[in-house]
Amino acid sequence: MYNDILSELLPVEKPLLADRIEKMNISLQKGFTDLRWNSQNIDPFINNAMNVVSDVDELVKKMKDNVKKIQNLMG
Amino acid sequence: MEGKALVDKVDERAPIFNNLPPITGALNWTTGLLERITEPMERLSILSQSIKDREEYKDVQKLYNSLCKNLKEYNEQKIIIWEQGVEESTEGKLNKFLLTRQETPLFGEGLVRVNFDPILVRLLREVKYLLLLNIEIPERASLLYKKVDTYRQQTGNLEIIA
Repeated sequence: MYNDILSELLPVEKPLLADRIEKMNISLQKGFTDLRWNSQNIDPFINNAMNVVSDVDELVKKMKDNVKKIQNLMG
Repeated sequence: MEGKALVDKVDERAPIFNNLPPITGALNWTTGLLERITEPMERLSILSQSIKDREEYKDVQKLYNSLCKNLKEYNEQKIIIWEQGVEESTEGKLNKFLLTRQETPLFGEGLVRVNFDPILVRLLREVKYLLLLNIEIPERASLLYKKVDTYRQQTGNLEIIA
């Protein structure tokens, strides 16, 4: 989801979601610098990241949907 | 060509099923060969003693024994080499971080990638099939395999997130 979200956001949309992107990055951070495959507490990290990222994913989908609706109305 | 020379020569092109990992595939192949030569030998063994005393029978018996020995040595060697690799690789690979960034022209942060080493995937697959063949697994590998479901779930969920 994360990679899709960031690669599909338009340059004008990205600043609107800056705080959500930051939130995702924070939720993933431990996976880059702390947690290894033999670490404890991997599952809570995954659960949390899953929640954060899927919330943003939903939001972005809604946003894209709305944009499309507006475009249709105006077209 | 017979015995050891044959096994060595054929090793390179050992017919391994597409869906079997390399070690299990090789062992599966030699197990099949062993069965194939053992069955006719068993049938011969119920023949009367007078036939068994003949030179031809002794030749066959000798060939059979040496083939068996070579095949078994081949199996053992394959397993030993594999075990050494297991010892060397698991610890370090498990010590990697869960995630890694990969540069992309699409966005500045970089793609998120799940950092589960393909060598571990291969190893877990190998263990699964070795167990099916009832072959003893080195301790390190069986410890790793105990967590196979955990790893599968974790990598699966991380793939969804990433």
